[in-house]
Amino acid sequence: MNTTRTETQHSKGLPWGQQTQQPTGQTQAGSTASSPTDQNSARHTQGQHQQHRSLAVVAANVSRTYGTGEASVKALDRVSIEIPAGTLVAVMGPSGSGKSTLVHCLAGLDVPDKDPNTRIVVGGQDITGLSDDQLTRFRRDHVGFVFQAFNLVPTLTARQNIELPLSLAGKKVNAQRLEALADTLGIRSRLEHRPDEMSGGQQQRVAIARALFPEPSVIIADEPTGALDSTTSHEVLGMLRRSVDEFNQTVVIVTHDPEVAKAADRVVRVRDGRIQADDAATGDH
Amino acid sequence: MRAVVLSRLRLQWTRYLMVLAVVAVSAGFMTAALGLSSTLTASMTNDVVAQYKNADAVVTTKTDATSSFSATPQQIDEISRVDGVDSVWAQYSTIAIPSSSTVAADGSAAPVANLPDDPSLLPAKIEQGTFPNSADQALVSESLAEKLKVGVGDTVSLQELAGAPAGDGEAAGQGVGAPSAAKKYSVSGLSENSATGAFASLWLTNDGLTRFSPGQMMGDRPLQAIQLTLDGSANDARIQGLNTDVARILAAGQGEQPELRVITPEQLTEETIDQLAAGSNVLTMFLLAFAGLSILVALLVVTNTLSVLTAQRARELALLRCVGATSKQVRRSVLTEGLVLGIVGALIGVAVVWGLAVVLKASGLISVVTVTVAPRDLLVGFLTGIVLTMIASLGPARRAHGASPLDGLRGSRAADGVPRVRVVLGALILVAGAGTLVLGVAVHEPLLGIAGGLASFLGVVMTARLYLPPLVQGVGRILPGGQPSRLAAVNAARYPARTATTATALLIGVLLVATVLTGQHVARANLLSELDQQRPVDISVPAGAGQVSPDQIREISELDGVLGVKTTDPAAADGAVAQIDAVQSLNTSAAAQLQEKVAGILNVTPGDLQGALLEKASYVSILEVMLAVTLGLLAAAVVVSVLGIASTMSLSVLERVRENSLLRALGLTRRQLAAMIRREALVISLVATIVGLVIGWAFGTLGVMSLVTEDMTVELTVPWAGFLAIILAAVVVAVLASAAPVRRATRVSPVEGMARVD
Repeated sequence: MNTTRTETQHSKGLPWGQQTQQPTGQTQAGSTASSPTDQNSARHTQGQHQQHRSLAVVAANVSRTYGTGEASVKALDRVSIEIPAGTLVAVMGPSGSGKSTLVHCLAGLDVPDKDPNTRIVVGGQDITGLSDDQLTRFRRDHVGFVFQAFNLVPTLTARQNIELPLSLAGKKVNAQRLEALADTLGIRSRLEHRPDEMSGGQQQRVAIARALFPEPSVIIADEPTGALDSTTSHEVLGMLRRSVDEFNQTVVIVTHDPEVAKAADRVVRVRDGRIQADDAATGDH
Repeated sequence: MRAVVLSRLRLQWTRYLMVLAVVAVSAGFMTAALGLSSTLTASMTNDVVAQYKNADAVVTTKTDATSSFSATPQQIDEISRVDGVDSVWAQYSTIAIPSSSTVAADGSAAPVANLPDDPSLLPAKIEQGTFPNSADQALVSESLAEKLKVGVGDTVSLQELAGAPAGDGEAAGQGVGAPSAAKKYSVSGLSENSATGAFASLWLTNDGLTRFSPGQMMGDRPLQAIQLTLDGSANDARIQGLNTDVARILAAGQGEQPELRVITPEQLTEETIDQLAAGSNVLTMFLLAFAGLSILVALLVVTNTLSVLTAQRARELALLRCVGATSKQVRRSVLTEGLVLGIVGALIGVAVVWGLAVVLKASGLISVVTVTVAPRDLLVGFLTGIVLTMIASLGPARRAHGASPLDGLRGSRAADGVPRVRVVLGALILVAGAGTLVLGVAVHEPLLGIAGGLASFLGVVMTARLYLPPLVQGVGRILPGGQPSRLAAVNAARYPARTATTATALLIGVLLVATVLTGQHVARANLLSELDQQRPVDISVPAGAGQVSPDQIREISELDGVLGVKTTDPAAADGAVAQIDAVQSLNTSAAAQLQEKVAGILNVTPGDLQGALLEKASYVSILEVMLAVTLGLLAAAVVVSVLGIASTMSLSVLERVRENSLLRALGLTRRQLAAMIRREALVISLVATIVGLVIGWAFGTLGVMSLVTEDMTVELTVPWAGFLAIILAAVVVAVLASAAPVRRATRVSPVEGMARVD
């Protein structure tokens, strides 16, 4: 296993973080108008993120086929998308449209079909063609997850759940930072409780805390409000919004909920494995 | 409902594999234990009865078919003249040292018997050649002929053992005393080998036998039976009549002659089986005790697996309730499942044992015994498997019966509480048992020791739910290995009842193995040091061997197993010229080898050497054999408990697919996931093993202490080598038991696993 390293520090200026250099091998992907199919797009634009908003996610020509032969289903069909850092993107679409597959591929959970034109770059790291182990390490360092339900490991306390991605990587956890984050999310008093002792809303907040804590390149939220009542749902959505506005996080939410769409900077509509519409919201948040 | 149960079994059969294996092992072991006892009875009966198989009636003593009586040639002649008697064969036997023109006598003896006048009475088949018709001819068994390298028409020489009566050829075969002149016989035929030792390997005519040992009249020899052929069939009335006649002729019950009777070979067979059954009952009980033990372990494992399966299926059962199944139907579905599993598992186990028996019998590898598995053995084994599974289903069925449909649908699970009654009762039994055991040690009463030991054992098992889960959690915490290791510790302690039962199954096996190992170790150390004090000289070289040179002494002292050699004054030390001290742990074959080497160096025969070495070695060998047999018999229980760990692990992994996928999404690598699962099995197996070793050591030591007499102090020892091997085995077992679960868990992709509902 990894030797214990000190916690990775990102440069997003979160109030519970410290301003340091990004230590990962590759730098944050900057973006120009260059085609995402350009294999070097992630690299030769580095340093330009002062002028342009940097891209948290760049995906090009992503296809995903399940099954083989007659029974095969094309869940994604050559989808390309760019997500600038510090934005909240809602991915919408009917069940089976491929929206979950899309974000799973972006998060390094699912692996797209093999194709030389396919490229996925997240937080400056090209994850195309990585091994299962490399993808796992990538997820630890770059992606935060919030799921609809079954978000937390039932045997661990809230604190242990929040620490999990860092402790799996063998990194030290700054308890003060963790508590500051818990304060911000209003779950400080629940830190030593197990999931079954918390309400659904509290569980989602712990999940958000866990996603935010390592300061990932992108947070993937798969129907995060799907199992919540409207008040709680509103609160949770507000937290995700705040993490974008105040801390410059990048958040991608898969949702059916029009409320979520309203709060997003941009709504991507997926249907039959393709992006049907991609419109920046009016920005009334 | 039956359709539901059957489709569940058919679709999810992999979940039941371990249960089937456990039931099969238990049922098979039961059948094998009973079959072994049947085999021994059948073989011993064969030994006794095979030699009478061609007779119509047999004269034996009233007590049993192996004690002897006497008859003069005149008396035998008189019996042959009784109305209806066709021929009479009084079989006398002795032993001879055979040799041939090419193979010299090597001192080993062969049983010799006289032939019947009527060739049809001879129980051994003639494979080649003819029945001897003169006093110069002999019938030789095929195996002896092969050994002597003779065939039909060749000549064998028989030499009498001085002072050897009809008796055990092995004991008398060492070749002491003055040999008489060898008699030559020409081989007229080769006879069937005697697998069981029931037949002689050399057959001579009456005159031939008289010629072999002229000094002894045939009438002076003891007889075990007189075989008769009758004209016509042997009905009860005729046998009755013969009884009276024979008793009169042989003066039964008068003087030294015991009471006699005439019976048919069939009656003799039945009678022998009855007599032997009494003796083999002890053996059967012994074997059944071990079978019972493995069944107890199997009961724990099967109950556990079925409980876990039922708990995992809470949602499905609740759905059944919602669509109209009554709680009774739900309970019955669990019982039906148990019944099907029991039948299939028991069938597999019994069939495998039966198949093995058939193969063994056909292969002829084991010719000394008649491999027999009676229908009764198969039936009892089969029923054992079914009853075991049914009893194990009762608890899960009761819980399924009591669960409310709504709880099940919500997926909430009843907390597993500590079963108070069982634990309290267990604690009381443990205290009482331990007290009795200590008392047994104090007053040196083995029966108290055994009773106390058994009760303490029961107490240890019944209270396991109290101490095993905290221990598992504690040990899990101190194991190194980062976050996956911590997760493993938490997982191992997640369902305390499940973990406790899994560990208890292994604990039972390890505890008993440790008890036996310690008992043997302590007994051996103490017995040998006691013997060493009483008889310190292992090998003494008698004065007859001549002077022992310094070169010879050096050579002997360099032999493996020799601790020291010293020359002694023959006048002082039992007439010995040298004494050798050897290590204590030699068994008979090692001791005999050492003895031979020493004899070789001194140019004497091994028999010339004296000392306590061989006697000590015989104790070592007895203890070794006892240990091997006991450990072999405990193997079934251990195998079952290992299957239990595998079963619990694979079900737990199945249950945690979503959780493990979440961990994978959050950054747990495949290797970390594998390590986590392996560690969980490792923690459970290590805790059970270490607790088992500690308690087993205490039982074994106290057991021996209660066995010895007051004036002996028992030196405490730990069989480190054995214990270390057990701990290593526990690690290997954990890795093996988690292999399949690890493979299954790491194959699931995180996305796939998260989407899974069940």
